[in-house]
Amino acid sequence: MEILSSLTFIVLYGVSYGMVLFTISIGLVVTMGLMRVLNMAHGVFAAFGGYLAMTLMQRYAMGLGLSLVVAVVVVAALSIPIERIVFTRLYDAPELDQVLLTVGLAFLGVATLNLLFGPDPVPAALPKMLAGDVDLGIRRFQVYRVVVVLVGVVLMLALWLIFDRTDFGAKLRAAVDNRGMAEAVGINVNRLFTLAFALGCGLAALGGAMGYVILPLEPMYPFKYLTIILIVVALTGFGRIKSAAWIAMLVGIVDTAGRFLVPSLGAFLVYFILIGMMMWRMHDAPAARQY
Amino acid sequence: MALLRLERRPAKLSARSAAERGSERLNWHRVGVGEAAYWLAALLVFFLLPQYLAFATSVLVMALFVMSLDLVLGFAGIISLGHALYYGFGAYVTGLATFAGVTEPVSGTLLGGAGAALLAAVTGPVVLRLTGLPLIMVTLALNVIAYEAANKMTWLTGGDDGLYGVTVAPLFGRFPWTMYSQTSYLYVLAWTFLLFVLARCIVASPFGLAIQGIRDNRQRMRLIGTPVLKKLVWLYVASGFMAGVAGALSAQTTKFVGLTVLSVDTSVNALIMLVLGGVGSLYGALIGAPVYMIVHHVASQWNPYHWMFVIGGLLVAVVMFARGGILGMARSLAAAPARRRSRGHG
Amino acid sequence: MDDEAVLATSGLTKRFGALVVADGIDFDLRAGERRALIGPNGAGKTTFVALLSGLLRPDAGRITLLGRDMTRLSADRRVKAGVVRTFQISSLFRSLSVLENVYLAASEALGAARSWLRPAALHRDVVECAEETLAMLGLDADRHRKVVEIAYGRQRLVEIAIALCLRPKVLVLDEPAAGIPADQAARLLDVIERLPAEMAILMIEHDMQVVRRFASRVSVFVGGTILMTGAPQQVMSDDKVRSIYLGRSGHERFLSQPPGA
Repeated sequence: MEILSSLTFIVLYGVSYGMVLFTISIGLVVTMGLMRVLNMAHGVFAAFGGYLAMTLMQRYAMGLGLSLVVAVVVVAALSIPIERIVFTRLYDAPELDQVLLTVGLAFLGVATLNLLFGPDPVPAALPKMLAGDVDLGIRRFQVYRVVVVLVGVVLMLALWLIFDRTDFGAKLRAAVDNRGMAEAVGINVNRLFTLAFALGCGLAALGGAMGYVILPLEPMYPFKYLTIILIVVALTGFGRIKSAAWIAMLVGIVDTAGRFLVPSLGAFLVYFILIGMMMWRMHDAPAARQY
Repeated sequence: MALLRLERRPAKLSARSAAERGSERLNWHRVGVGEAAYWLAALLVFFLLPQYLAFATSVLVMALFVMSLDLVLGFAGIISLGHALYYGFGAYVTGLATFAGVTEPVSGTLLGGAGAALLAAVTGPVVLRLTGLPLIMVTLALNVIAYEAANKMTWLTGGDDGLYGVTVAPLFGRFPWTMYSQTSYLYVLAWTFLLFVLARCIVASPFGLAIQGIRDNRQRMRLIGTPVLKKLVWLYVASGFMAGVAGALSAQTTKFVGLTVLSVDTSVNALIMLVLGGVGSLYGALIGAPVYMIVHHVASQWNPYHWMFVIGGLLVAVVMFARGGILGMARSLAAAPARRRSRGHG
Repeated sequence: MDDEAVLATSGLTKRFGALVVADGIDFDLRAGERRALIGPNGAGKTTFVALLSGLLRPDAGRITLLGRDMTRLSADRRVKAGVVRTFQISSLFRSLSVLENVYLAASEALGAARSWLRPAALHRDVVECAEETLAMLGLDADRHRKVVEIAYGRQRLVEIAIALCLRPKVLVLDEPAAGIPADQAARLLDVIERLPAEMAILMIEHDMQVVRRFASRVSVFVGGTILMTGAPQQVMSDDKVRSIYLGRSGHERFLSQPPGA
């Protein structure tokens, strides 16, 4: 019974962690696949979304749901001029330039977060309705985490619908696959980029806001969690939207399992496995071609 | 098997015309006046700024490390976010070697360099098959793994507290390591200069040109018979050696090895210094390091987050406006009169 | 397999999932032979060349060079062994100059590529070899210009220059004259014709005039296999080839032209 309890703990914690990672990373998977830009500043949007939602809830006593919506919309809206002004320059730039510029943006983002919200981490206090525990039979879990998982599942379905069933999704997949051809067929690729970027940043904001207990908010957030986010993106491959959720959950579970079972190793496990998986995928030619 | 000869042209490369047009790489072995000025200035620091020698020594050590990064990143185009792995490894090897009795400075330095070179030889074949995001991730991951390992292995590395009491015997048996860092500075300067010359040779050689070819079109290089991975690994090993020497020098001159030598922070700072000075020209490293460290020293009183505004702004500005860094801007300023002249004639 | 063959394959097969792009190809090329590979698009000619050069691994079969099994050899080792190819769409070192492009090939061929102490420009033998090859192809005026800056037709010539510098035993040309204006194509074909007699040349071509002028033997590719191999005239007048590939009118045009036109 103990083992089963520990196992379900790891799975639920890992899956909820993975859902947050998925929500934040999916935007990056899309933009890296679509615009082929290595964006090291993605975490800034997630952090900003989280901070904004927290501020709305705590200082302006806005409800949870409304705060999330506002945060997502504001971040998505702000991302549009940023994309138009800065990111368009990066689309055909050498990789090094992309890395340097976006790292610079990340630094600027961190400094701005500190300026706006102060250097202290945001206390991970949960609103009453999410703070309690729910008994799932095997053991008790925080309502919050269960909700995160449910939201994640809904999101997966919604994204699947968007990408597979809508016009926008079809155009997106076409442009990811072969930008030149997409343009030739009359798809307004520039507008597509802007919309996709906004969607990605909005989702990042949602993830940052939703996951503020799992990934605590602090000015250094964009750097602190950049590595794990990039791990998910790197393992998924660019533009492979459907795999992102499973990979994110896998990473979440592995990380949680590592920290739980072998605390002395901690973060090691994820990195080791990452390197191994990366090497294995590189030998697998079609997967390697994703890059 | 003789190639068909239609006409026989004598092989000559007119220096300026070649550089002006496109074969500049075939002129990289020529030494400019500005270069001599740089090294002279470095030597003059010893005489003119005796009170700052400790700081100057740390600047040179960093410059050497950044130069090793330039070989890999600027020259070969391999984006590594974790180069401090080799720097830190060299530092720890040398530091621990002194505890084992190897206090002679030159052998200590060589040991650190060799250790890092060996590490590069092992990690290279893994890392260098990759490009793009996977490459960045793996270099980052290796760096983090090393840092965490060092952090956990306190019995070996002293963990958070670091390795104290690194002892170094007098140089050549005669020159003691004084508090005013006189020996340190000249010792580090000598190593930096030597390794700079080595880097210069590599860059201007056929091997160097091949690395450029690999950077430009890896597949094509295979199809002209180049063992691509092998060449890249050799370059990586050379860079690892340099980084390891820098780490060793850091341990020997500060008599201390702390965890920061292995931190991702150090890797990223080196990257910033390189970008600031100008990527890909070796001198960019040698200029970027002093500039960054001096500015950082001045700004160290500030709130660390404000410093991030500066770094972030700098990076964005360099990429968007001043692609070649300080060196690039200096070059275009120097070339402006020549361009004006040629436009007048053209 | 022919003992005198300089390059030979037996049962060479490559599949992409259910699609068989190379179906048990048996092939042999003798020293000094000039062979043209013709066939409709998608017949497998380019795949065959990719298998020969090592960019693709076969699922079955063998490749031998001068009797030595080359099947497991990496692409770069094959070049060193003497099999060199050019690309239909130029694949050059775009940021380097024309001279530097050819220098790279020459340095590999002359064994200077490993030198890391002595400056590149001071390897006189390599520079001379590169400059000679450029002169032979009429590229010496462009030698210090960046490859991206010269006309596409001349870029194709740089492709050839690189291949020549590598002193191949077997030279594989993938549509060498594709995309080149007529006068430069003539010069190129001139150069190809005057290549050393010991060099075996394999050329993928669509232009029948070039085939007739250049090839001593022709292999017809269809559906991943070689349908037949023979002298140009013999192949062109074969009924099967005619119907699959040339079409009736094309064949008649071929027959009606006097040789050497």
